[in-house]
Amino acid sequence: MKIASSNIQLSDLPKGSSARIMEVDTSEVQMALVRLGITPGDTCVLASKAPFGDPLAIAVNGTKIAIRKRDAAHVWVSVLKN
Amino acid sequence: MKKIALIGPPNSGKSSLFNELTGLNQRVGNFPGVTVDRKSAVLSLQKQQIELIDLPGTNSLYPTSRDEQVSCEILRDAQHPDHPDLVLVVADATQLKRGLMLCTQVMDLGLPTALVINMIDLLEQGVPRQEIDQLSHRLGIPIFAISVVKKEGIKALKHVLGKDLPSSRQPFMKIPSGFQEALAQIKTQLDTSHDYLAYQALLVPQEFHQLNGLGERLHAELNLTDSQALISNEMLVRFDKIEGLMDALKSQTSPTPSRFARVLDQVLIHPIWGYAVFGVILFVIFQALFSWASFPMDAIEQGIGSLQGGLKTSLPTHWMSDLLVEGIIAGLGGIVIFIPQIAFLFLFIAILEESGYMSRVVFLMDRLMRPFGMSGKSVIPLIGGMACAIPSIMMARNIPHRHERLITILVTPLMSCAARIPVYVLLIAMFVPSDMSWGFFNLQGLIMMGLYLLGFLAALAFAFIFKKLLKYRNEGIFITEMPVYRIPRWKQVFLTIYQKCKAFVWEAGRIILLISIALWFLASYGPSKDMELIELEYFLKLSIPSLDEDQIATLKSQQAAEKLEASYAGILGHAIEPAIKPLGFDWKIGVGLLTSFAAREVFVGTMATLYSVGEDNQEKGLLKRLQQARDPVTGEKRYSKGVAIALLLFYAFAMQCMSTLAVAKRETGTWKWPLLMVVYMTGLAYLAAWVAFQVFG
Repeated sequence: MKIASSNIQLSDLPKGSSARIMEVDTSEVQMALVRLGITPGDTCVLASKAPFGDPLAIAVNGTKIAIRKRDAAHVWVSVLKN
Repeated sequence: MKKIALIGPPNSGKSSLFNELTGLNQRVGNFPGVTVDRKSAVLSLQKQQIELIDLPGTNSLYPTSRDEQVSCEILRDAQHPDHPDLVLVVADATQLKRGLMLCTQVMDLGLPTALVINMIDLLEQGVPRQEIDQLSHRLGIPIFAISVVKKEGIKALKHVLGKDLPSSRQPFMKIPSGFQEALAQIKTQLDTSHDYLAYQALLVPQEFHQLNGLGERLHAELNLTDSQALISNEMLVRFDKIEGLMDALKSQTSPTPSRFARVLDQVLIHPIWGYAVFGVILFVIFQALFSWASFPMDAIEQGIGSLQGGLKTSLPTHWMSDLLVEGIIAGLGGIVIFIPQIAFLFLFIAILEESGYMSRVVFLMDRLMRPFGMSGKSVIPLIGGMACAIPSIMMARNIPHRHERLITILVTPLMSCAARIPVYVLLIAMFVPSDMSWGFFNLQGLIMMGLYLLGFLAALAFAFIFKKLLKYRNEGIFITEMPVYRIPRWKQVFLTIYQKCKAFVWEAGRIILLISIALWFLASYGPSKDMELIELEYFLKLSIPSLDEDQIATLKSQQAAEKLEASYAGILGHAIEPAIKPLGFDWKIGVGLLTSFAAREVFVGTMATLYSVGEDNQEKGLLKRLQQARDPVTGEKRYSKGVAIALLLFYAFAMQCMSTLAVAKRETGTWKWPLLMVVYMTGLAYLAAWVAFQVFG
């Protein structure tokens, strides 16, 4: 499994930043995301965090998902610069 | 009859399209063998009778819940009684990609398919006709662009439902190579020509019972340990191909959320304001359940009471009249009385779900519920438990993880439900005068609130204990959609309320009615010698001509009390007296506890009979009698503060509802968990009552 050094975990994405999904490293999380139509290459924004920083609200493809921090750590993204 | 099935991802507007096409014409039942709602309706279109079936929503044909599994089974199994002749895949226009993914899976199963693109009113520039035609041509299926809200395109859709569509076309996706031999074997066994159906059987063999283990064997032989990776790869390939097809439509179908929606979310899922808003909403729900619902409930109670009174005087004295009045009508009353609260509860839950707010609550609460082995999704059943545990336990189905769902089911009955209210009201009044207050707060009201809080805290505490016992560490994946906000569709809201009330009356009502009749028998009959003696005694007493009306009434209620003591119920009450004596309860309370198994509020009526309170003015009369009751041996007050508090706690915690147990058995599939409910809840109730009696008694 190759993960480029510039990629970070979705769980580390700062609030309000946008990023491109590069890779999901477990098939369970991968499947849960793909079922919602979220695939590598999609652009996402960390919209907000629930109290205590978990779960995260991610805006992606015109909808929003809630994802636990632990699951978000399996999603590798590359931060987009505005 | 031709069968048409509706399927689509959650929030695609599938159910509102179904409601639009069918109206009140629909029938709600269960799919064969499972308690998953099956909504269907018969339509006549172009002189043809067509059955339209609303399948549970799903994102893909690889199910993650039992409801979704039903949808998949029906589409996969040509022998299934609900297997459709045509599938309408409903897609949200703003989430077209997802709808198309599901659509291509359905197509590849070899089923005649049409795609319905709903909510085109949400697209700023609409959908150009020629692009739809192009997509339709490329997929080889008819496509309809509609808006249920604006009632656009419904007629054209109806027109096509009556026609026959061909199913033969090229599969959308090529099956990965390397499985040909296995697929050929499965195809022979399933008697199908569709590779994709066989491929699914290979990836998820446990969902294909009709293969008798062939799927599992091939699955093992090919060493498909990570079939999840194959499944997500399949979906990725489909999405990839769909992106290519949609190039033209793409710019139209990915709208940015409106400013209003963004502001709304900034408030509603804000770390502070989010909880404040949720608190206010909970408060409004409480108000509705306890003060607004009391008007129709009082009316129902009075109605049932006067019906019983009227029938009693007009019907001849016969055991059948007794059965009708005391057994059947009392039982029906016990069912109908809950309808206002259940209707209110579902009104709120339907509005919160329809608007998209509920998923925000799930988001806000997830972290807080996790230490207790539950997830954000557990909040919905727990709130529902304040009205009635029965529908709430059914709502726990939306919790995908097995342990989180089980823990939620196990603790939901600890939430104080509506049936406990009459008991609370009577018992609190016994030791707290109604005019006592604490600053601005009425003390009775405060104690009532305290009991609700107690139920909630006990639910959390036991959830924590079960989490430890099940050795559960919140390993479940939690990825859930928070759909865009929208105005609730009222038709949908009211249909939900209607259907839930109907289901409650039918499902729980049958049990309540049966138990009520059984209790009537136990309370009206006893060893014949004793009963005859009482009859004779009072026959003589009542035959004295000089008695005035009041004296006759007193004698009659004394007779009822003595008969109840001599009845089987009375005997049972005496039999359990030694067990409940440490709690300060006597046999009369024992009888009340036993009859509470029909529904908790039956306790009040039973005590009224035991203390021979007349028909009218039951509550106040009973309260006075209970306060005056003395212990025959010591002469002390029978219902001391200690006994009343012990009883209150007992009712707050004990498992006294057969219907809840029946639903829990259905939802968990075994008697093991309902049995655990009885043991732990009644154990807790006994312990709490004992402590209270020792401290206050």
